[in-house]
Amino acid sequence: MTAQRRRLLTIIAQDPSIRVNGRILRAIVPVPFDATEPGPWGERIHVLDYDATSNTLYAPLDIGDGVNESPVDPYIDATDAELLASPQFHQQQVYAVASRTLARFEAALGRRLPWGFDSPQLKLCPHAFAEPNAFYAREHEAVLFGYFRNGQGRAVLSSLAHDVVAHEVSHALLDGLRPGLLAPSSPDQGAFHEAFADLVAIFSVFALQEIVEAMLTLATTKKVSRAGKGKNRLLSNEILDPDWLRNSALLALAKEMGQELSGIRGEALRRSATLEPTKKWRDDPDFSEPHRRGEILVACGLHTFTLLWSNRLKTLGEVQPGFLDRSRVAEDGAAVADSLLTSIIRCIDYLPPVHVGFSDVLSALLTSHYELFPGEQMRPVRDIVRKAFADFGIKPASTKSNVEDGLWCGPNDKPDYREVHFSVLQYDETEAFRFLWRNRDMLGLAKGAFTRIESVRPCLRRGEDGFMLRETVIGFTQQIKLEARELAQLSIAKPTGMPDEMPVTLFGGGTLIFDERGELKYYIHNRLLSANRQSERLQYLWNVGAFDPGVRARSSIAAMHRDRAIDRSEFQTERW
Amino acid sequence: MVARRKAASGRKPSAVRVHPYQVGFGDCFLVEFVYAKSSKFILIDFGSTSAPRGAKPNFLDNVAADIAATCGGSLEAVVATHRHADHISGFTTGDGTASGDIIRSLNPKLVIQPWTEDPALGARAITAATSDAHKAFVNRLSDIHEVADAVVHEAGQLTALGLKTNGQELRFLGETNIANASAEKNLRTMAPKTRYVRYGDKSGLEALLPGVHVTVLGPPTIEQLAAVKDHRSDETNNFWSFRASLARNLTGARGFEPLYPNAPQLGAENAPPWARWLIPKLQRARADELKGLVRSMDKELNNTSVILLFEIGDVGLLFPGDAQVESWAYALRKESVRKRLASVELYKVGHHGSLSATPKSLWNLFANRSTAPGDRRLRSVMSTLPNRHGAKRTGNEVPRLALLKALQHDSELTSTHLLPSGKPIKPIEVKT
Repeated sequence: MTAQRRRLLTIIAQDPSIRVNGRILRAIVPVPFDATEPGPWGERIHVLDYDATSNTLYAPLDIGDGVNESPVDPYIDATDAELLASPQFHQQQVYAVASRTLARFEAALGRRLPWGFDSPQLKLCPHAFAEPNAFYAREHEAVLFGYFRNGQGRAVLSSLAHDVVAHEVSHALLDGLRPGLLAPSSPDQGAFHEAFADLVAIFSVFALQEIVEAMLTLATTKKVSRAGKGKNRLLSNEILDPDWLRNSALLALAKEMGQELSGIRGEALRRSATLEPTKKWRDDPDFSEPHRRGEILVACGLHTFTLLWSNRLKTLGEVQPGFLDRSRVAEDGAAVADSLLTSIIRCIDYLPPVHVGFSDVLSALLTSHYELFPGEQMRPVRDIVRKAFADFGIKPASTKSNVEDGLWCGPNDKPDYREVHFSVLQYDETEAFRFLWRNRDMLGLAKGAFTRIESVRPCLRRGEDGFMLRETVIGFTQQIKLEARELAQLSIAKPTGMPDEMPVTLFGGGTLIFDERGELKYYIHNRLLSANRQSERLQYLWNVGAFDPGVRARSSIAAMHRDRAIDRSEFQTERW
Repeated sequence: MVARRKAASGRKPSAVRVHPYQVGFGDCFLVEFVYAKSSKFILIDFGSTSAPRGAKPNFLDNVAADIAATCGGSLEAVVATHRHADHISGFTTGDGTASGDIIRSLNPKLVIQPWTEDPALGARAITAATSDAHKAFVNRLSDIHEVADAVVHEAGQLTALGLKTNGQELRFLGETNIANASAEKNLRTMAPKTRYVRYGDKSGLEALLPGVHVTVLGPPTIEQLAAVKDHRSDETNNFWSFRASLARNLTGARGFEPLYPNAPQLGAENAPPWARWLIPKLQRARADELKGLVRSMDKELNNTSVILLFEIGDVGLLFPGDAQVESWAYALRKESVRKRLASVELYKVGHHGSLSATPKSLWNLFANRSTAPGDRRLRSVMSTLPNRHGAKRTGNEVPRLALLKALQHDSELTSTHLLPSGKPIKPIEVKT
């Protein structure tokens, strides 16, 4: 097997506010090889540096195509001032972080991933406009990073924050994988897109050992600059307490991360790290708002992280009585973050394509982890995930698994595989639809609804025995259009105040996962005709104004981020 | 309170006449309290950002002259509900004959403005009695003007780049939010007394209008609003720093200087082919972003509107300025307020009939709503001009058609946009 070619590129590890010994904390990171044009402009990512506020097009950075020219890291010896003042370094930063995020997703899912639009290349604009916002826009096939001047007149760039770049590219990747999740649905689904991007961003940053070391130093000495290399290499064993890891380590980093960017990134890390496990949030109207609700899911992720990290540290052994080795602690933290990142990304394949709820996310996480590590040996990890979510009152959506609590199940009956060719099913949407049609009754599909295959994805992963396993993930959606007056015929309640003639579209959908032998192993279904869930959903959508004229059929990440920054509240039911 | 209202009823006005003026997109209401011997007048708002069809450039001066004539040269009070140009531009002074000079010459005894206009809360004022939160809020309102100013400049650039519709809409929104120092100064100084009021304050109008009970229902204070929204203090601080950075940033971009003028650049006008398709897309994205921001700022200022409820016996008249649902939320939580709002017989439609300034829960409280004509049927009065704000296609047209339909169906509506421009509008009389 040919070794994977990689470039090494300098990036700012988190954002310019995280400093060690007075210098911006950097990392030299491997980036998957790509035969780039100046931009950098590669197979999947095109950095295009246009500033709409000043109508300026900055010259593109050349990092060498790696074929005819040697790859270069032009900023390996640059000073901090040079990094901050060079738009071309900012091009390198977004290119490197975005490429790594894409590669991370592809590695976790074992396949190439499409964007949510036709073009193969996502455009990144590191100085898109003078405004404190950054967002992915499907219609522009781009992620736009804004900038602004702080009180001292210094430029603050969202494109220089590792977590902001990873967050936005995660939105773009999730949109490619599950386009239906930007459609208006439940408060959970609205929260999921944001929480997912937050979790990927946070764990991508934590997966860098440099960051975890800085975080530990901040939490133990309060000032990074005091801790030089070779000094202070021991940590008291108080850090074994997961609450300490959460309240001190995570919070220390959250506080240090560029506060000026809080309007752009929100404060998912700080807010979620300080959110004490509670089951009462569902009764708090504040948490019906998507951003606040997303913090619950992020808090579950952070809670899992600190519990897993603490467990792992307990096996580490003390280098002196009462003390642990700092770099081993950091290494373990980064490894836990990396492994969680894989699970979070992999869980997308195990989600229904529409109407995702937090309970679905938990079952998807447990199942994706079980598929990677089915043995009893790794069950404690899943027990920790179950506990972390249970502490926030979230139970798995699946209750019928006879393998392990919360795992998704297969279909109720044996499907009819006759005339369905598995070799074709692995890539062909028509064959996937044939399977669905043949088994529509057994799969509980809504009759009379428009049904389409959303995606057919071959998925390769390494099995427990080391062999490569080829699975197939098929997503389908169903929809039915009717007038509000007709809802009663389906036992679905018409929202209070909705006119009889209001056109209503109901959605349902499912995910089918076939194993390497072509057997349907998991069937994850959000039924179109689930009367209770559709009634609740419609009432919610009616209340939040999703039926108002002019409301887009899918959410705009730009507006979502802007609303988060300015804390907009809407009293939709009061409007005309 | 009920006892007090009865005690005053001996010399209460026999009727109230509301004189709406045709100011295009804006508000101007002269309210006449008819007493046995003579009438007393107060002026609620006087501004316009878009003239009525066929109006001359100085039409506001003519409106001011008519106000002076109608009130017989004397005003008891002026109420400037909030600082938007479409509510205060008429107070702008000039060479002594401008509309603002004319109103000043009517010698109002009292000017009422929202607490957010209190000079003691200004950026450079240090008053121990005022909380940091209030000062920060007022500074944020100043930021809004700066942002608006920058947006108008940037709208010019976007129009020049060919984004005509976006540029025009931005300019309109921006201009409404630009500061008007002359009008603001005139309002601060035209009367011997100026009151900066918040929910629950005394208005000072009772002393001038015998037999009239006046309740201030808005704007709420930061703390009152926080009680509605369950804000945490750290969040609100972040919110303000975000706003401040926005203002600095947009203001800084006024000259459209590139962030890195010395960095290597390719000309945007003669962009290489690979960049040409993205540039107009990004410019449109930019315009959409600005529109979203300016709309949210616009709403913020609207929510500083003074809301006044006048009660004469059992008859209520409600003037809410441009207050939006967020501001109303505080007052509407009070059961006692809700009960009193039921008796409203004249409602000045909030914010020119926009979708979120007449909360449905407020509208449903009005007990005098009726489809049948009658003495006590709810009267509504609206000053508006279509096709200036929002659009039907996006569901935010002003006036909002669904609201207009309800106003026409369940009340006796007088709206400036339904009446011919250039002709005086008949006053609406409410017997008390």
